[in-house]
Amino acid sequence: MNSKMTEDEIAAQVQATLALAEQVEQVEVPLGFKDGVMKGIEATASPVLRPLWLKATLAAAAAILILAANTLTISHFVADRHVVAVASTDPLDQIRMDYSLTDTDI
Amino acid sequence: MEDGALIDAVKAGDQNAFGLLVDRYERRVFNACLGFVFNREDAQDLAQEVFLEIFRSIHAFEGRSALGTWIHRIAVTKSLELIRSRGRKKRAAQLLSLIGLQQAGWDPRADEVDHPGIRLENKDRARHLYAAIDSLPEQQRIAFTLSKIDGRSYEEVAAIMESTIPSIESLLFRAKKALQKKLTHFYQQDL
Repeated sequence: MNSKMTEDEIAAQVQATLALAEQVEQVEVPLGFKDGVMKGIEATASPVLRPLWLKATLAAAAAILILAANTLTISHFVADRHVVAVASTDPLDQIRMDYSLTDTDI
Repeated sequence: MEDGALIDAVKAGDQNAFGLLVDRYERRVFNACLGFVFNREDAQDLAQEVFLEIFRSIHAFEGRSALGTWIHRIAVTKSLELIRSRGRKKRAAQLLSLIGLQQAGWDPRADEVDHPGIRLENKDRARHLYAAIDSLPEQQRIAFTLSKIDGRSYEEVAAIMESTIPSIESLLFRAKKALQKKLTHFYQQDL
C-alpha cells in the first residue's frame, strides 16, 4: 500500500472520484458542428432524399438488362450448337460442339 | 415543430427539417458521446456519425419510443463501437508488445482524457474515474454513464437500454460497488 495515504484517505479519494461522475457538466457543441453534419449529409447517397420512383426505375432497368443479357447468351449458345449439328459436314464441328468453341477459338 | 411532424418532414426528404433536428438534438448527442469517450475530438466525430446514421435510418423509425430516446440509443451504440474497437486494438498491441512486435494503427493517446465538462483541478481524478469505468462490464458501464455522467433519469436510462427501472437500479448498484473496489486498488497503488 502507498505509505503516503491512510485507509481513511484512500476511502475519501474513492468517494471524491465517484462523486466527480455526477459533477461532470454538460457542454456546448463545438462551433461549426452542424455545418459539418449537413455537409456529410449532402455527400451521402441518401435513401431518404432519393425519390422512390427513381430507385424503382433504376432497379427495374437493371433487372431488364440482366435478364436480356442472360437470354441473349443462352439463345446464342443454343442456336450455334443447333446449326452446327444439323447443317455441317465439317469434322471440326464435332470438336466445336464438344468444347463449345467458336471459329475464332479454333 | 413537434417531433412527429419533424420526423415526417425528414422522411419526406426535407433537409431543412433535418437541420432543425440537428439543432434540437446536437447538444444531447454530443454530451452523450462525451460521457462515454471522455474526449472532445472523439465525441465530435462520434456525434457526426450519429447524425449520419439518423439520416440513413430515419425511414425505419416507427415511433415506438420517443425520438430523443431513439437518437440517444444510436449515440450509445456508436460510442460503444468505438470503445470496443479500441479495446481490441489495445489488447492486440499489448499481446504483440509481449513478443517484441508493435502493431500499426494503435495510438496510446487514444486513452487520453479530455472532457471539457470537467474542471482542470479534477483532471487526474477524471483519469482514474475513466479508467475504472472502462473496466466495468458493458451493461453496468452504460447504466452508470447514462445515469451519473449524462444525468439521465432512471426512466430515461431504462427506455434507452430497453430495460426496466429495477434492472437499472441493480446495474447501478453493482457498477458502484465495482468502481469502489477498482478505485481503492488504484489509490492503494498510487496510480
